[in-house]
Amino acid sequence: MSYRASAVERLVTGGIYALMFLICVVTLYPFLYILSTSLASSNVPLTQIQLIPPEISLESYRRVLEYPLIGIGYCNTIVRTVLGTFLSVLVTLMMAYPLSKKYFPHRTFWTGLVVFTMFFSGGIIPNYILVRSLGLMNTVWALVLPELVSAFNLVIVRNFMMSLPDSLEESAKIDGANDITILFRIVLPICKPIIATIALWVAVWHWNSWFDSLIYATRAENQVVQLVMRRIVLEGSQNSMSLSAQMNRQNEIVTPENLKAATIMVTTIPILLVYPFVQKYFVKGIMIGSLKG
Amino acid sequence: MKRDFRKLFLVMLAGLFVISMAWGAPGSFAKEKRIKINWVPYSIQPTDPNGEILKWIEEKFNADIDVWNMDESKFDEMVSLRMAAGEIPDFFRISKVANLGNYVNQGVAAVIPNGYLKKYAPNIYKCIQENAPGFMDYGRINGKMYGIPIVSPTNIFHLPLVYREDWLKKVGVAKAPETLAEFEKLMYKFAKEDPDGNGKKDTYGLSNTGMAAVFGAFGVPLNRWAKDDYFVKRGNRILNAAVAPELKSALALLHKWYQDGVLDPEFITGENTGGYWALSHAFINSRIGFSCSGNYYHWIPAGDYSQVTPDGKKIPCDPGAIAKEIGLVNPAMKYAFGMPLQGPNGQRGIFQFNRLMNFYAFGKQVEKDRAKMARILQIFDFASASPDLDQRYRAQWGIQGKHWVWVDKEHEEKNFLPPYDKQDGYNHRLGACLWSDMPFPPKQMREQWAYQHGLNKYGIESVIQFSLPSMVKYGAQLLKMRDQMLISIITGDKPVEWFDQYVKDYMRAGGAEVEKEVNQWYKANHKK
Repeated sequence: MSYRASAVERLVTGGIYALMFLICVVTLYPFLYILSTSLASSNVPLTQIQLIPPEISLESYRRVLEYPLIGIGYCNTIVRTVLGTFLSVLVTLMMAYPLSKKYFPHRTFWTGLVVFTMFFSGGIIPNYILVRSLGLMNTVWALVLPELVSAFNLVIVRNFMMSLPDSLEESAKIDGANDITILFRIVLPICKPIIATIALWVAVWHWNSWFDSLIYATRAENQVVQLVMRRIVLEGSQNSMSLSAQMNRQNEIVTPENLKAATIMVTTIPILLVYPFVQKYFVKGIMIGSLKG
Repeated sequence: MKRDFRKLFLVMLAGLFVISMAWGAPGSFAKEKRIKINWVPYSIQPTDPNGEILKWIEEKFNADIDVWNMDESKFDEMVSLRMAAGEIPDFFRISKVANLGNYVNQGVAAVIPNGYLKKYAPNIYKCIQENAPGFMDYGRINGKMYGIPIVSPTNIFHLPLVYREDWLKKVGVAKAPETLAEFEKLMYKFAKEDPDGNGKKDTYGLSNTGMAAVFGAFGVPLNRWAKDDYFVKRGNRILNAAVAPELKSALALLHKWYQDGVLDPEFITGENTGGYWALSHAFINSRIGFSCSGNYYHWIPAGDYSQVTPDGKKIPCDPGAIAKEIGLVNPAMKYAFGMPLQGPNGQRGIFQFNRLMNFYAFGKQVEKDRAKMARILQIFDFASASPDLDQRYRAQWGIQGKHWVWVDKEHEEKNFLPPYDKQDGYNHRLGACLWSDMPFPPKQMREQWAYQHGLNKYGIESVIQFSLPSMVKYGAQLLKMRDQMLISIITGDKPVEWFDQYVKDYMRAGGAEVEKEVNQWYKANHKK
């Protein structure tokens, strides 16, 4: 390629890089701040911020992991994330495939019906009544079923599938494959990037969700880890003036601030670790999905 | 390992023994019908339906109690959601005072018949009448009683007034100021006479929280970070502190200080730059010499009073959150506490938080089931205010010797036993949550410290602590107007005379309606 960037172009590129770098710093800073706080011992002042705490202690992490409800919360979160992601991807795929076929009867109507839900929903009270009447309270299904198919993800997968050539299906049909075989043996492997993309979205959504657990899980053993974390983080920070309701901590080796930071790290790091593994699909996936309308 | 098991076994045996003792005793409720109760308490931790204290209370009062746990951060929203779905609890906490009126309007709150509180919750009734006279009225709407007011025992203490003692010495002032005039002189010295001795002009007198001391000296309970309405009485008229005429003089003074570099220009964003809410970064990092940040207990220096350990040893107390931070950042720093300032009218005062915290109310269906209402009141009375301290603490904190021990019963000091000392809200898991704070005079050592430092004197309390419908309607808007006005006038963006225009705008934007409603309510409820 015999292409040489002009001075203006280089300036623009430089500007863009500088801006991106700044955005990176802005997004990373709070994270590093929490990381540093979580690793600091209680002898490190909170009013003077340091990137690397002068006295490092893992005590906060030990305390968070000893906390009785964290373990149960973690299990619940992992179960809902794995189950929810698997079912979501499966059902989205099985719904998107027929909708991507031009010969599917009343295709526009069905697609419209799905898109409709993107703009209108029943609201929180009908949802609650529905889940309760179905007997799903305090089960993992209350967290998985209501959000099983996201209309947005469905449209993206459908658009991706529409970009596949029709001849692919025809040749498979000639070889004697039925629709189910075609979907799982031929279409699915091609769709890997888009599957990885929506799987990541759904997984992150499941991991971060807490509000549905707050509503549908009334017992402690059914609550997700994000809810447990929220409780620790919000405790005492609400300017609650009721003293006897708070515990008077004596001779503490960790401060509540360290504990809160450690809780945030413990609940955030696992889902962050997923990103590097799916990143190569991720970029490809969104690009392809978004190009075709 | 083996020894651990033996210990566990013994503890369990002891626990069983205690429980069987309690069960064995024939309660006065044994002959009556067993009652089912849905109860929404304050909860920091979800309650285990088999929690041992819950079981104990259920047996004692012959009731099956279903505890609904609502997350504290979304408390009223969650209660409303369940109610909208047709599930109305029998007895529930209302976390925001303003919401009592909403529940009454929606017809989900039951009327508490006259005399019921006195008859079935005599200890609560007595405690509130004696220690917070007039507060019962807040639970009344249109003459009918709907809510049991929950009154804070410790909000009798006003904001702390804290000075840099080492700076006082440096500028040649012997003791903390008593009057506003003395205070003004001192603030100028802090700003101008280089009290930190570094040769640079980098110090200020006061910042955001310290302004409360100035407002207080003018008789106005204002505090920039308090998000409620505060009311003062002027003659026969009740008016919002945000439009009190004295405010104008206070603002003129603060504006002058701002211009002269005595008031920290960063007061707009505040003294706290993140992290624990009570910390004053400006004070701790030697930027300002006076602060009213946090609460008294945040400032208690290490060892200012003695704590007792379970084995009877006396040890110096731990420092409060701000005191601890100062010890880490600048151990040489000394600070001293002052009293509220005497203002130009000769009166002293400073902002004090509302004592009315929450309400407890009954679900509509209990209105017809008088026996149930009586039983609930008896349980609530027993757990919140039983005169038998051992029983009350058992209902609130679990079993003595297992979860906690007395170290100084006279001062109601207890220590939590491991592992419960590191588990916030363990008592809520046990079901020891069917109680609420009552305004008993505080006895703990920490509160004795507050009494000794005069924190119960000269606080200005809002004359109305209840939220009426018009306050709910206009509150957010009016609060925004107030805060904008404070900043505009102090920074000189608007002249001090503009205050009169602001008052007119404020009244037009809903302030007049609030004032009318407040005065009506006050006349109807305060006959004297």
